[in-house]
Amino acid sequence: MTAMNTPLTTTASSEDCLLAVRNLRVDFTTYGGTVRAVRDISFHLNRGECMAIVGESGCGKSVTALSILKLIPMPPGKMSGSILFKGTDLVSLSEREMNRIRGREIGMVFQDPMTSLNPTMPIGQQVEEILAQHTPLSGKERRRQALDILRLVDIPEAERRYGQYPHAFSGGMRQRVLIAMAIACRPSLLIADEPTTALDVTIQAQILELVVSLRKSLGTTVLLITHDLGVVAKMADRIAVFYAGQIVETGECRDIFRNPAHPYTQALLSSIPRIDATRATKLASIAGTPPDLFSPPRGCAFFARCTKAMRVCATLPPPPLQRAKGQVASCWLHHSLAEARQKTVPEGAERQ
Amino acid sequence: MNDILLQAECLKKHFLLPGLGTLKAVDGIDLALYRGETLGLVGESGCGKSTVGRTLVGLYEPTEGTVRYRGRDTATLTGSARRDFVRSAQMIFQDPYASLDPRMTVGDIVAEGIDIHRLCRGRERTERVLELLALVGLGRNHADRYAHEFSGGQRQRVGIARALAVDPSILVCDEPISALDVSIQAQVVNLLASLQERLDLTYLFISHDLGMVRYISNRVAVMYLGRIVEHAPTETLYTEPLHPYTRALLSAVPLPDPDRERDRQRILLAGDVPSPIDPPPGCAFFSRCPEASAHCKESSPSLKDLGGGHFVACVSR
Amino acid sequence: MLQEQPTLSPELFEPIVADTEELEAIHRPSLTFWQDAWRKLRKNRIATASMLVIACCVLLALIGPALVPYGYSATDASSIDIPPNREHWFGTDSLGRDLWARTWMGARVSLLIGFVAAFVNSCLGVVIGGIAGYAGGKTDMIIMRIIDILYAIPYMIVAILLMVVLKPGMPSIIVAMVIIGWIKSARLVRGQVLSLKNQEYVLAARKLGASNFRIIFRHMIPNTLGLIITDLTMAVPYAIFTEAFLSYIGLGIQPPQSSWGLLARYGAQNFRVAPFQLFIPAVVISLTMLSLNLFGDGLRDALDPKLR
Repeated sequence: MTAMNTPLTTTASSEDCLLAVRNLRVDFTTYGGTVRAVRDISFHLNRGECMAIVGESGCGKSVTALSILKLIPMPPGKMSGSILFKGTDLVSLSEREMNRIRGREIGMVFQDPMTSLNPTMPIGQQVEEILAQHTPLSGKERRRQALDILRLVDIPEAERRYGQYPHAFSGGMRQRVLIAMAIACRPSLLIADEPTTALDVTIQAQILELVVSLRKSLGTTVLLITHDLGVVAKMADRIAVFYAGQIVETGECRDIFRNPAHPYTQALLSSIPRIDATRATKLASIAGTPPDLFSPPRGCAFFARCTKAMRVCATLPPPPLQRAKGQVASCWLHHSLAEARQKTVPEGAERQ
Repeated sequence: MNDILLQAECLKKHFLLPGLGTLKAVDGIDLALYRGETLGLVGESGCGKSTVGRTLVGLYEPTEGTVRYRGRDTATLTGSARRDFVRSAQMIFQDPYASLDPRMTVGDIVAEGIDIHRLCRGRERTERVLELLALVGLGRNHADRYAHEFSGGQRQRVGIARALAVDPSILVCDEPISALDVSIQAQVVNLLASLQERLDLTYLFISHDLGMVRYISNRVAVMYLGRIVEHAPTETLYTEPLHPYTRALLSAVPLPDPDRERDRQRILLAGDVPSPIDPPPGCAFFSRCPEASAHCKESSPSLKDLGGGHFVACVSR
Repeated sequence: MLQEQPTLSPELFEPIVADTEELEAIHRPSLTFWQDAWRKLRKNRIATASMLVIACCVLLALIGPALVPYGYSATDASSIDIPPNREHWFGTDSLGRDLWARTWMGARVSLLIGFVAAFVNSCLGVVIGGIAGYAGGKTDMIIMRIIDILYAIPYMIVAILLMVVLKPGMPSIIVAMVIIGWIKSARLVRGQVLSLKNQEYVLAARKLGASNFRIIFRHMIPNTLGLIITDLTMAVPYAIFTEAFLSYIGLGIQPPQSSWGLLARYGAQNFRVAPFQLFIPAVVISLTMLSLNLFGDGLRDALDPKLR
């Protein structure tokens, strides 16, 4: 396990790379002060893969997703950095140009299917609306296309249900409709923000299987935002772990689950009860709560809750440091000086 | 075997919805809570588990059937016996943001039970409040603060302290952690487990989180559409689930382990959870059961004792 | 990302234990609901300005007449219909009475009637609406049907009819205004109580063994107080206007007492000769009503728990 001391830029070959976020910062001005919701994050997404953004509430994952689509209201919000989508910087685009991208190039599925659909419009028409905005199809063709898409997302009796209103559908069905609307124009990127959190676990399983099969048939790249590590294990190729507005760790899915490098990721993984674990396995909890984003701490955001903290962690924010095989963790433990220390003092000896 | 503290016999709770029909939230369940144990009650939304919890502690009147506290029918209790029951069975609620009165200080919230039952006054009351706050990991200076100043996990702990203030023997925890972040859930559950040991409490742990239920429960009961379809000691239920619904449920929960998760055999249920309003006769699970037969539509199966504390309500088991 | 690498020494990598008590500590100062509401209200410039206007109005009602040497009912045949000047700040009326004194004496009556009527309406509304909401079932249904019927009757007509029947004077006006004026408050409070009844903290109190009395006084009312106060504040301008209207058409306050509506009545009669006699009471009524409404808006925003 080698560590490099120089801060690392995330590697991405320009052909494969569909989305590259660089130094994204999002602040919100509120009556209580400025909330630094997203603090200088960078990551990239390769074509065809599924990347999961994992974190708890307040970590900035939803804000990141909305920022990519520039859906953050800009008077209270302020954004800086670059978001390169297929080579174009989305930050510099006008609202009109963004409208051509939303729905057409990038689709989004939100968390709550109850409130994301227009209750006064039949679902078939809502799918047609997307097609009307982005494709030159005629009315009849649009209807045929919309029907096909509804069948693609496994809505039973699509013809009959085409003219029904959202209230006639269950939560799982509504989520399917939302997915249909998101992929209607075969976008290259699908952003799913907690798509199954509001659903029962058996329905969640159905929806996740649907997304897996859509990925296979359409080749869509997926950016999945969730707090559920089980869903991540099932769906993701790569993971970015968020904490207090920053990315603390990125890497391949298997690597992160097998060898989490950041203490937060480690603590998170050991605080989840598994249905295949015996009762004897102790559940570790993380003391305290995430820091206040009105005045983020000077050093590492996880310092106050970290059992492996060092002096440097209190004062200096850790840079992203490389571990083996493309796994990057922002933690001073992977600095060469820390590793040198580990060799001389056995771990745990000083922590009483 | 420990004695039974709280028991439900053929318990039914129906709600009449004008214009829509009868919502059969709980449709005939038998449940026993043994002293010192944690009974987990799992199921998806609409299965009636919350209603069971509220009916057992007396917040709802049963439509049919009996609730017994220490052997006595709670509907017949009066005077001090009734007060004793009301005090002994307490509840922890799901929403930490709605379960604390926004106008009261945390100290007053915790002391509410003490004030109602006049358990102590003045200096003693203050001491007791601080003791309870310390028990759940909160400090002295928290007593004068208001609920909105606390995080979700802290609020839930205040709710636990409030319930413990009246020295209950039974705690019904109705989805106590669903509204909390993952890392805080473990905090609260570990707190509940340690309190159970220290104070000799009995828990009914209601949740849809199968992993957490496995972690904390001695026995688990699975509910579907107002009925209990299976119940067994925890290890047995999770390693040898028998009811088709239990199997599908366990198969649907994604494991935080990429290798095992992607190799798993999935049982995918078709369709949606049916409505508990005027359900059709026969087995509750018939419409989605991968093993259903014509026989299942006719009569609702009762729980069969398969030995070792394992009960299943299915004709083909 | 760091722009420049500060030199890192090995001692920085010593383990350190973070302060665990700090983890649970809350740093922001604790504010009660009322303190927080006051803070928000003060920040709202329009509400603060309105508050000042109302305060001035009340102050003048109390000391205004004493500021001038003329009594409010002292007639002076030699100073009829004089426009506002340095001696008579608001001018005089057709009987030579000083209008400044009369306006502020009238203010006492109008404001008093306004506040008292609004207060009684609110109290009745809270009690009736509270009972309907909390009891539910048949009681609620009966009360709501009564409210529905009363709501269909035009408020003004009832007030006018009652004033015709009752002996004119302040108590009568208040009775006339209050007899069906409580309906709006009742509906508001009933709605709030209905939604509070199912809040988990009310259920928790019930589980702890709280009596109905305790639930109502300890949980429901404090959480409805904000709504009640706002409703009260918004009811005052309406009450002031009703009194003004009744007096204007001759059914309200009778001379020699003075009220704003009465001043407007005489002012309207004498409009051709001395238009200021109508303008002054009209402006005063309008300004007061506007300020109370704006203040009520600000109060509602300040007391709204969702806008924390």
